[in-house]
Amino acid sequence: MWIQEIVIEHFGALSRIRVSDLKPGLTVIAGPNEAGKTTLMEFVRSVFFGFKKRNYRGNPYAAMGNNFRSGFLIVNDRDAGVLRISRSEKHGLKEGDLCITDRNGSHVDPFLVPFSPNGFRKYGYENLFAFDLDQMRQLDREALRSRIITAALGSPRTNPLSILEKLNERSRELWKKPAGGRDSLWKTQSRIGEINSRLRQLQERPAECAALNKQLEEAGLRRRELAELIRHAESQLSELEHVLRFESDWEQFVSLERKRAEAEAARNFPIDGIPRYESALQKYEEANQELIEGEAQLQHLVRQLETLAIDSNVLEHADKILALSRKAATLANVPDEIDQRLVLAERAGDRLAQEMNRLGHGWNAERICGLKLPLSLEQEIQSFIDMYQDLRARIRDLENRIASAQDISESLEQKISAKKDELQLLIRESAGYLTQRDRAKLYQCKDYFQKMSELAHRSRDEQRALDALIQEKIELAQNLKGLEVQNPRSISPPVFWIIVFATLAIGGVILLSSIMNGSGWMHGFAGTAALLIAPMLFAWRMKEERARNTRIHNQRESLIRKSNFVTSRLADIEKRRRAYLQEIDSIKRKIRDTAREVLDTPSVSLEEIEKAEHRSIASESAFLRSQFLKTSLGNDLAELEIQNTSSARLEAFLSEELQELTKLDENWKIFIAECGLGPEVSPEIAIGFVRNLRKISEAIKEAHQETEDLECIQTRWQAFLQEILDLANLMGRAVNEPPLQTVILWDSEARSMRELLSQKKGLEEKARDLRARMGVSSSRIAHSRQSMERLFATAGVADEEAFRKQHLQFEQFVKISGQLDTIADRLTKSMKFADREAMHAFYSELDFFSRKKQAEHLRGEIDNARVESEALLERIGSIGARIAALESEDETDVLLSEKQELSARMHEDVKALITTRIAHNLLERSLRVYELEKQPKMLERASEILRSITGDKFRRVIMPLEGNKMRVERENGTWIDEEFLSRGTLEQLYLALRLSDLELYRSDKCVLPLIMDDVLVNFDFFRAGLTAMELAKFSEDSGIQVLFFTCHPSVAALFPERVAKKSLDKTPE
Amino acid sequence: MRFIHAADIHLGRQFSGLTRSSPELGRLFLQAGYSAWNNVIGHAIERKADFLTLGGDIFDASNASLRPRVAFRQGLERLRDSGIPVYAVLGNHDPLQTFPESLRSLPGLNLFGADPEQKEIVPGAVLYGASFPVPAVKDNLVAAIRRDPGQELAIGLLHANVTGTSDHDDYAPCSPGDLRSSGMDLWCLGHVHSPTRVMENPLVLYAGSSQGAHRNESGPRGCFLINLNGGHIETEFLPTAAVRWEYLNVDVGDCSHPEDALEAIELGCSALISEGDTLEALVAEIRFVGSTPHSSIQVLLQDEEFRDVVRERLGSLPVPAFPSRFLDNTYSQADSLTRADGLPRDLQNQAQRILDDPEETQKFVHQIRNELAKINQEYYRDLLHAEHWNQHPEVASEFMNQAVAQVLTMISETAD
Repeated sequence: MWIQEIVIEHFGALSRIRVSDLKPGLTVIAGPNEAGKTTLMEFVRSVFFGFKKRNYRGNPYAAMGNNFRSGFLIVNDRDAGVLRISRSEKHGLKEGDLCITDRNGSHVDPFLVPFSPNGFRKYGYENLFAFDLDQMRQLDREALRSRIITAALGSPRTNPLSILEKLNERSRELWKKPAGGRDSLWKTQSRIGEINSRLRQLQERPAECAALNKQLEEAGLRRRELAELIRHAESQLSELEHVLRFESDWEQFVSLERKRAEAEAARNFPIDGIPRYESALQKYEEANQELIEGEAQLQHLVRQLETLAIDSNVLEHADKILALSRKAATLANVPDEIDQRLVLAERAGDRLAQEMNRLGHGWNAERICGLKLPLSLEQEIQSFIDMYQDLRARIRDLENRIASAQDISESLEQKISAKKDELQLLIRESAGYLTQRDRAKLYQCKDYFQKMSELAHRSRDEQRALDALIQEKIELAQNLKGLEVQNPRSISPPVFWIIVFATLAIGGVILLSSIMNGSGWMHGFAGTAALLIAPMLFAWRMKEERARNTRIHNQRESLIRKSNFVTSRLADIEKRRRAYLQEIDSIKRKIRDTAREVLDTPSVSLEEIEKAEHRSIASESAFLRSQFLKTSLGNDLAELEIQNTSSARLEAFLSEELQELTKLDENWKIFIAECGLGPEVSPEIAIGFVRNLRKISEAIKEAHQETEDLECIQTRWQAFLQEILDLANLMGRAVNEPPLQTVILWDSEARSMRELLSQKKGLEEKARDLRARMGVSSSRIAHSRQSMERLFATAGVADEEAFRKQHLQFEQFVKISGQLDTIADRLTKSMKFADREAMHAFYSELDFFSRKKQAEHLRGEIDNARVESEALLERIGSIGARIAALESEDETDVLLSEKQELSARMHEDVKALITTRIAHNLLERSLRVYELEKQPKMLERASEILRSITGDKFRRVIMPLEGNKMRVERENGTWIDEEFLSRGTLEQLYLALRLSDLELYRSDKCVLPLIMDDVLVNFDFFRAGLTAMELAKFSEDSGIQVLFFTCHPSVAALFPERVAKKSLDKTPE
Repeated sequence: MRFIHAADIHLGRQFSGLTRSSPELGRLFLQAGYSAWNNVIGHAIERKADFLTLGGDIFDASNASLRPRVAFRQGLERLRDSGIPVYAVLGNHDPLQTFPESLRSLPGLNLFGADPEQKEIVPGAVLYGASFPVPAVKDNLVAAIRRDPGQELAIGLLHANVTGTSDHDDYAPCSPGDLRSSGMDLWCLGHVHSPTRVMENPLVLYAGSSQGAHRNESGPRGCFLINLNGGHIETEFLPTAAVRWEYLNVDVGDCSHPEDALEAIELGCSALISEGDTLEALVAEIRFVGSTPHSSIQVLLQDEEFRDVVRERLGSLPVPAFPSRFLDNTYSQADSLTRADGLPRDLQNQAQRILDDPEETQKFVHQIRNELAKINQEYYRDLLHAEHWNQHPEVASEFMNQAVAQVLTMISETAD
């Protein structure tokens, strides 16, 4: 983009200023101070990037006379053409109202121009495109540096070195600084180390536990030992204490023994002496009394006996009479019963005879009784009949099934034959059907045909082209030959030579004649002229010939080129044609293959294929139908097979069942023949018949029984009558009464006689009893007397008084003995002695004092053991608690889990750290590449410009990666930092850098015009001149418009002549 | 006859791979391994098993600490009280060499020795097995086991690696053919941590670990109840794990509010939970998937505060869940690097240049390793290794991509 015209309406001190006819290259605009150079520059900047605010601290270039700042630029853009860019100050718009219109006055989108919001920024513009001396000296090193080393970063504000530093910082943070609730790597690592060492310590725990367990076991063992010891001592002690407890008893025992010895004299007194004596005395007195009473009673009984009288005959047969009377009681009803039974038997005989007659067919009582008629017989008959009927039903069912199977088979066979017929027909119809694959092949074949025809067509085209080319070539050859003819000379050679010779001859003749005649200069002149014409003609001829030759040569060349071109095209076309032919051949082969394979013919045409396809389509439905029929036929055949098999099986079943039926029939016939039943017998009749038979046989048996019972009763009655007669004879009495009453009479007589006899016996018994009792009483009296005598003798006394005295002494002795026995028993039991002697021996020898001492000692031992045991128990408890604590604590698990977690974090953080380090390294490497590959490009150019400007005083400029100071190489090879350069040189360096930057990084992009305001003032004359040359060259090379403002005419004069120059004066509109 | 086969109890093993602990569930996590062992015992007692087989790796550490030993002893006591004997072989984690002396002769425990031997369970039914004498057994133990004639039932019990089960150290390797030719009716194996039926005839079972301990041991873990009815073998898987590890894909494509995302996560966790019975908690790795047109959600997923809210909400579910980590696999995130140009491309070119040349890779890795000198090597020995990078280019390129992304993020942060 370059500025054609600058028009200021109101801006700063300027109003209505127009700078026109600016050129795209370098323009030097010279003007004295106050001419408005700086304002112009600021105006251009403002039009592009907006006005400065009115309250801007520096110069806002407010328009004079309260006018709004306004004006426009006419620019020429490579893409957009001529544009009018105007900006006018407006309320509310900070930067002023921008208006861009094209040549026709229509608005242009501001985004399309390079200074648009997404193009340059104002900052970059000021730094690069519009600067005065002061601005030029304020080189934004950082930005420049960024541009140099981050050419590809896309963001000029990013400093990759700061990124590098940040990556380092991040690495350090990861390593050392806790973040986001997490510890740093360093801390995590050391914590894991701690955990590991703690875990190693914890690994000793099982061993410690095992040791504790062992201690526990030992303590338990010791405790058990102690318990045993205590138990033993305690048993000993208890024994001793037991013995010692009986010391007082023993002393009492000894004193009582002494007392007993004193009462020893009464020892022989009988223990129960006094009661025995008293009872003997009492018995004596009682016996005496009884004797007197017995004698009186005896006399009374003798008197009673004498009064009783008894009949002995009746008494003799009393037993028989009693038996007869009992029998008579049982046989009282017999005569009536006999009569009744006789009548009943007669009636039953008649009934039976009738029933048997009804049966007929030779059935009589013997035959019926001879039969065995078990109860299961009816069931057998019933089941037989059921089976029979069942069999019949089965046979009927089987027959039905066979018939239906045969029906189905027949219908199937019909169906099958119909289908077969149809199938035959269809197979014939579907003869032309082709499979999917074949059809596909045919389709492909059609394609081949089409392709082949296409190829043939093309090949014909090619042939035609070939012919045309050959024709053309022939024409060209002819043209080549006819070149001479086509280029005719203006005069043919013979004519020419004739003219020349004629001229020469004429000239010669005239000249000779004039010489010879001396006829004046006129003739000589004419002759010479004629002679001169000949060479002129010759020269003309030569020139024309050369031109003709050149023309012919050129034409030949072009013809030959054409011919060559035609030849090469010929070769190409021929090649293509051959390729087509080959392809056609291969397609033909393929078609032949397909024809052989699909249609079974050696060759085929397109029509045949189409016909085959039509045929196939026509027969497709038939084919499908035939396929369907085949499947269905197969199914039908299978079904028929199944039906046949099943019917054969059914027939086999039927024959088996029929055999069974005949067998059963025979059995049945035998049965009814035997029973005498008719041929048509129902199961009910047969069963009823059997039941009837059983009933009759039972009735016959009953009648027999009845007859036997009657006979038995009659026999018993006769025997009874005989018995009565026998007894009457024996007793010598006549039987006048009916037998039963006779027996009753006899019975009552016998009963009264028995009563008298028993009375007499009782009285005699009593008398005997009394006599015996009296004998006993007298013997008791004697016995009592003897007892008393014996007691006195035993006590060694003579009378009752002495006896009683002795008794008192004896009682004293017994009491002492009792006490002694109690104590002795206690003592004996105390130690479980075998007997009293053993006890006596033991205690008499026992030393109670030494025993007491021993017990004391044992108590001490037990106490000691108890204390030790208590201590052990405490120890066991503490060890147990320790073990339990060890076993239940989960420090290992907690640590392990913490370690796992930390390790995971560690892995993650280490990964992050590795990533950061990789990022750092990658960036560093990339930057190094920039330093080596991209930076030099710009700096090389800057060095070149610097060399030009300084007249080779400085060779190179570089920018080290570290730091932001540039270094310059002097012509002698030494390096100098920028800060040590002279002011002018520094300005030259900065200018060189700017120009290089612009050239390298902006030349391929849309650029704005470069505007400089008197930047050469500090340059010496020599360098200023060189710089001016360089600027001109820069503008020409880069195509960037440069507007150079200066107030020094001398500076303007330094620029080359070709540079446009303008002087700036206030020009009214 | 019925019995329970369990293996790889790994008593004393703690969860790994969690970068953050859960204060609420911490105790549960510490206990999980022991709870699983108790669940095995509980199953054996409840189902009235005739015996219990353990397929090795009872303890996680060769020198087991105290608590695992106590847990093992107490478990055996419970079984003994119920009259259930235990038949056990030892594996690579707890070989005979280091198996605590005091636990070998516990009543009710029938421990197999280093040489293959047989133990009669009931007359006619025999258990064959052998323990690892040392941690690394490279011999084929199955080949040394052959069924004696006249036995009605023969069961093999081993800690072994059947050929083809990769991901596990190849200890006591054996092939399906070996297992078949040994003549056993049933093989109960340990070593592989997922419950697996290796083959059917004869049935070869891996009980799997009783409790998963890291993200690669996800899904249900437990033991097998094996019913032997005549020649017929029925198996039933009984879950034992107290805490289950799971992956949860949460599609945040339709989520326009944080609440939606929270709800989706909760629903996903609840769906996982409803199946378990012994389950007390869940550890879920949450992966956000789907495309996220709402950039606010994208930012939200990265927000630590949001993640805290998720943790809180999941912790209060009926069966609490703990999100082990969050992965953002949404689309817009994935393709951010592909649009690289300028410096990104230069960085990637650098990375590629390094990765393409093994020598350069070696140098580069060496340089980075030098910079990590202060860190214990075990944390990056495998991760940052030239050979490892050469063998696993995806690891190397992931590092490189992340590094490039980091630089770019920093640049964009600085530019803003």
